[in-house]
Amino acid sequence: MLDIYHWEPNANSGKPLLAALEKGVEFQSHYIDMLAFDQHKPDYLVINPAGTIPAMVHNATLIFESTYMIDYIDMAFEGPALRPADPYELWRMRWWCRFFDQYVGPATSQLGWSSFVGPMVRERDEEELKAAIERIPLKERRMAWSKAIYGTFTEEELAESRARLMSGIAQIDEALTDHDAIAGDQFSIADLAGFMMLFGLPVMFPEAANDERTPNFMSWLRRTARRPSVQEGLSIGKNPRFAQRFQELLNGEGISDA
Amino acid sequence: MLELYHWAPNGPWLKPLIVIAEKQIDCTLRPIDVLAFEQYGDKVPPRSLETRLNQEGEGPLLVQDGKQLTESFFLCEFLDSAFDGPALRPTNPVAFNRMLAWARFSNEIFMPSANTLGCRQFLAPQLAGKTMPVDVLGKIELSFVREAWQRAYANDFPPAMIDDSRRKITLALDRIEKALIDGPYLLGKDYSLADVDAFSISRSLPVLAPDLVKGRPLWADWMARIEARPAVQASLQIDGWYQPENVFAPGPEHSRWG
Ligand SMILES: N[C@@H](CCC(=O)N[C@@H](CS)C(=O)NCC(=O)O)C(=O)O
Repeated sequence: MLDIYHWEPNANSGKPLLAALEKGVEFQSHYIDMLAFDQHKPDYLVINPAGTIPAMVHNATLIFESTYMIDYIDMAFEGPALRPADPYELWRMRWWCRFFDQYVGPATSQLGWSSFVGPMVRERDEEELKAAIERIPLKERRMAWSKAIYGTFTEEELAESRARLMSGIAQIDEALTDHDAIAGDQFSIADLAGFMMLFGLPVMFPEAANDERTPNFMSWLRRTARRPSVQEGLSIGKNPRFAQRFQELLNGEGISDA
Repeated sequence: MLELYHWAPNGPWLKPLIVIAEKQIDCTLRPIDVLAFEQYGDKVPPRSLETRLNQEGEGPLLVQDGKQLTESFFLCEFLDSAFDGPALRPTNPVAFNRMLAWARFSNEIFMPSANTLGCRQFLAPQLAGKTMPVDVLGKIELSFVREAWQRAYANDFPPAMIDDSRRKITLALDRIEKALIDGPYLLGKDYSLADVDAFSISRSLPVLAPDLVKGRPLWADWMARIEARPAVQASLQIDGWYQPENVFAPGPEHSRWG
């Protein structure tokens, strides 16, 4: 039995969901409301002591790291391969996954958390929020929540994140000049993980991602958005914000590119 | 034709050297003097998009028939998947997931922390009184790599940064010690890329943080066992380095998000 504990089909939470749908693997979905701090509650910490989402459990074994949950699904189940057989393309897939997870991902999350996640929870009782922050197991996550709630992301770090996205999206665009997919010509984990990390960007930060500046990036996003697994995955969400962004992406300019 | 551009057999450079020796891969080794900034000169071929943006900071460059690869762990995965010789990756999906989760933890938490201590203790004193060559600075595309070099030139390592690095090294050592309870290797009964990675980063710890490695019998025994492997011995003796464990250059960025 495969259990996936996730929030919205966005960023890390979306990765194992889409991978399971892409492979046609049956799973039990458990919605964890991140804005209600479900991920730090004792019941959940029994499943994933790190207190992060997503979590994935297969035959009573916890599988770590959203990007590598996709690897696991690919290895453990039948269905279309999500990893290239060619060693160099496999390396390219890893390289770009790292770029998404470590370089552009944190920058995107920082913008999202300062403009959306923080304001969504900020109005709650002060003591309750303080206690909620203290319960967070990982130091990096505790810091992110504290900055989001108290609005203390510095202008300098937000500017750094924007600069990273300006160059980072242009670099992804460049990588897609002579490939249909991130790792090569075959759809892989890198497309799935990158899409989940970045599909909101044309709405959230249009200066970095738009049809004039980064046409390859935009048509890659739309190509990926049209995959049946992605369409189905996006319908699992409960918060209209993400479905809306997804629609806006599909409704945007350049819809004709296949 | 396969070529590896590398510096001293320590940290990121040590990992592929070990894998090449373990698998007896036919590879031309090309030593590079990182402190003379040869990696930004014409001793190495003009860099591809990905390798210009090496998320590892300074590290090895592998070239196979014009294709370039960086990022020591993933470069080792490439070597293991592209060449014959003893397999260094598990075939069991759970063990494979543990290996990749280790790599992510190593890349974002362990390696940056060991590297911060190493740059302070060994790199900064060598750069004292000097300034970073302006033409080199202009060739480094990633701002965090430029900043890490400048930090070493300025010997600017605030106590909070050192404390945080020591905290994360403790996490890494705890994680290794725990994994070795079932041992004899990190993923269980078989030696793997997780051992190559963790060993290569751990090797400097007795000089960087002697107090933190005390009282870790499983770690100490495992280190000695890996060090005794003929392939590891041969790698450590490459180019006749004296105390390669003291050789450091700016490495990957500390995790910004968790
Ligand atoms: N490296 C982990 C990171 C997981 C992570 O940080 N997830 C975020 C959401 S995208 C989270 O759990 N946030 C909730 C919290 O920090 O409380 C992975 O990829 O699975």
